[in-house]
Amino acid sequence: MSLNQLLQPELQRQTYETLCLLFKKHENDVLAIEILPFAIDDQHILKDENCVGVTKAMLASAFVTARQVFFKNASARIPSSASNIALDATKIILLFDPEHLTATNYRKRVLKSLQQELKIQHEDPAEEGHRSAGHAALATAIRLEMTFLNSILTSHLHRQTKSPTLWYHRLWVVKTFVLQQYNRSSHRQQRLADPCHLWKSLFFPEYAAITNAGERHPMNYYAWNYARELLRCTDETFNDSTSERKCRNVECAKMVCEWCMRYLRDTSGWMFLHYLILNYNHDLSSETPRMVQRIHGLLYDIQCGYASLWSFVRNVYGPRYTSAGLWKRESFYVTLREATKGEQKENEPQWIPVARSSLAWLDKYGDPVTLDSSDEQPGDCCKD
Amino acid sequence: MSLVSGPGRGGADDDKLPEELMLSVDQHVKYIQSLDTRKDELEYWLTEHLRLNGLYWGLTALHLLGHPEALPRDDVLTFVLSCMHDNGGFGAAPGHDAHMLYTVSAVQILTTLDGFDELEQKVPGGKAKIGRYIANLQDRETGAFAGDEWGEKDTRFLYGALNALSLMHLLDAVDVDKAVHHVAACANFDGGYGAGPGAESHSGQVFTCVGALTIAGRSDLIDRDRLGAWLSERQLPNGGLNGRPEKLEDVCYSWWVASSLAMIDRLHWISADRLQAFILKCQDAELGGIADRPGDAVDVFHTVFGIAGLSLIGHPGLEEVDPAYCMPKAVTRRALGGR
Repeated sequence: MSLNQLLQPELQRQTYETLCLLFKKHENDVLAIEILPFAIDDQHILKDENCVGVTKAMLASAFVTARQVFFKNASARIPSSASNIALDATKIILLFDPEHLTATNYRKRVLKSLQQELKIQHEDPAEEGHRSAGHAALATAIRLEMTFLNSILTSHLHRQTKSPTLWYHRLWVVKTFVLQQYNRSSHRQQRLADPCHLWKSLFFPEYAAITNAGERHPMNYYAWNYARELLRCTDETFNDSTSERKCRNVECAKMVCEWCMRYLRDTSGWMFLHYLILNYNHDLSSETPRMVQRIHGLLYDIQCGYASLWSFVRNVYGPRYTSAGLWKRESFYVTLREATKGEQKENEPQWIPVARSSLAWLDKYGDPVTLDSSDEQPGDCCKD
Repeated sequence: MSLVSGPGRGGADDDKLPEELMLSVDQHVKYIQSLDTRKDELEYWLTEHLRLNGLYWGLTALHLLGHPEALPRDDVLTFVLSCMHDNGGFGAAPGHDAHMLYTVSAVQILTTLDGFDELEQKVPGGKAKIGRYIANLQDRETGAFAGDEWGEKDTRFLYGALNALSLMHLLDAVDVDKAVHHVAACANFDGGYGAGPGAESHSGQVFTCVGALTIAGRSDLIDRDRLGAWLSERQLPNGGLNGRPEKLEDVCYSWWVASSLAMIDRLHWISADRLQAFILKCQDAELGGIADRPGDAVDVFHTVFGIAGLSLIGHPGLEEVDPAYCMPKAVTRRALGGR
């Protein structure tokens, strides 16, 4: 796209200002942003409640301005967020170019600077009231940051929803600021009363964002990588609470298994489900029979031949730890062998060659299968 | 170097294909040379955050095509040095934050152009500074590497660190054993490797892990048959390679997959002929450049990896590529002292 195709400089600036204002006005809302085809009016941003439509020319024009504004105003000394021109510019930059590392890092610097500012102001132990006000101000800034991220990561913007830069930024915000909020008094009380409080208030919104992004951009490597990292960092932070971890794992497995059933070809979804099973097999025992039933239904009733599903099968049924018990590893092998026995035929169903090659792979690379494996215990990383 | 895509498009219609597909060397050279002249295009600014990577891709492609002089050496070196920060790290372009990815590209460019003397002239102690920047990004507990001060970890950064440090003979600045241990932990049951322990197997990440182990001299840790099986399943009926199960073919995987297979001595587990035909179909024979698949817009990223893939499978007329570095073998041989 030539710069000549962008709007006139006057209009470029106007579009930039309009978008900035839009973000400011709706900083509490998750905006659903879409890029509209050229045919529509190039001068007006379409808005319907929280849905925003803007043409590529407008967004591109705003980006060019935003880039100039950012590099002119971003400096090592961070002004307060209320009047931070460079910070406003980063929103427009990232909307169009989600891999812009420097803009993303600037947002981190601003948050860090705010945290520092609040610490310095409220170090006096007598200033409990000010300290809570400080915490509230930081909590607001973090909430707004997560809202902004949701506007980009769950929008109908194809490239943006898979951005490794933004998914890591999200992880950094969560690890640096969000998790500690759950160790404070109000959340602590609710957590003691309800082991699923963490799932409802922290995890569910995150996994909803992940599955959303996974729908916008199939096989979303970085969204699902974030899904794994979230489990890891919260295991560390809340390591004294097995009932909360169990609730998280069970609810997560339910949500993701359901999602995989709807998005069968999504290898990333299946591989995350596998990760859950690999690391929390013990926690998932209440949910496993249902998962096994659904997966076996896919394999043998629906006869699904997707490589994504069979990749899951190899990873789950290959290793020894799924022997003895709920995953019914031994009987799975028996069923698979039965279903694929005999010579290759000409008009056999499509899934048969896939199943046959997976069995061959399992025979070669899977852990040995013994019919009597009652001594084997499912291995898992997080024993109670 | 811009990463502007187009104007060319990969692949003629099937019925217009010449009987013998040829690599359009001159057109690709002209295409790469033209990239920096396109400052009037939006995408020039949109890809500013990758500029130094783009320069490495373009330069490497030109070297493999046998046209190392096609980009003016002084201009390239001047640009590279303008991206350097005081701490020894490099940003994607002047004014951009330093990061491992751009630092590695800088080292690869400096190595290819044999420009470390110029670096030392302009920045005394420059090479050591770069080494320190990279070494400081290692997590000494796990052996993994962060991309920058903000802490994102990914095997891409670990690979980049070992690549750059080995070229500068500064590998002893980091704990290679720990790094190797971390890579080994990223191996999955299906044979592939991911961005971190337990992460989904992905051809790109496979390349970084296998490359890292190869550079560290520890490819003995790889289960070659298991990995080879996973990699060979990347080849699709159309001859192209994908990155993961159920994904579409993409020319860049001609590099990530093929080089990984080469490093574990199993390149013959895919059909080189069918891969070659696929890559050649992805080029724009008239305007130059290679696209991810026939019909799509070309760009310099897919151009270098398509050409590197062709070199690996022995396409005539190309310089030999080093599978562990994605640089000309002649360059890595010189830099590493005759491997």
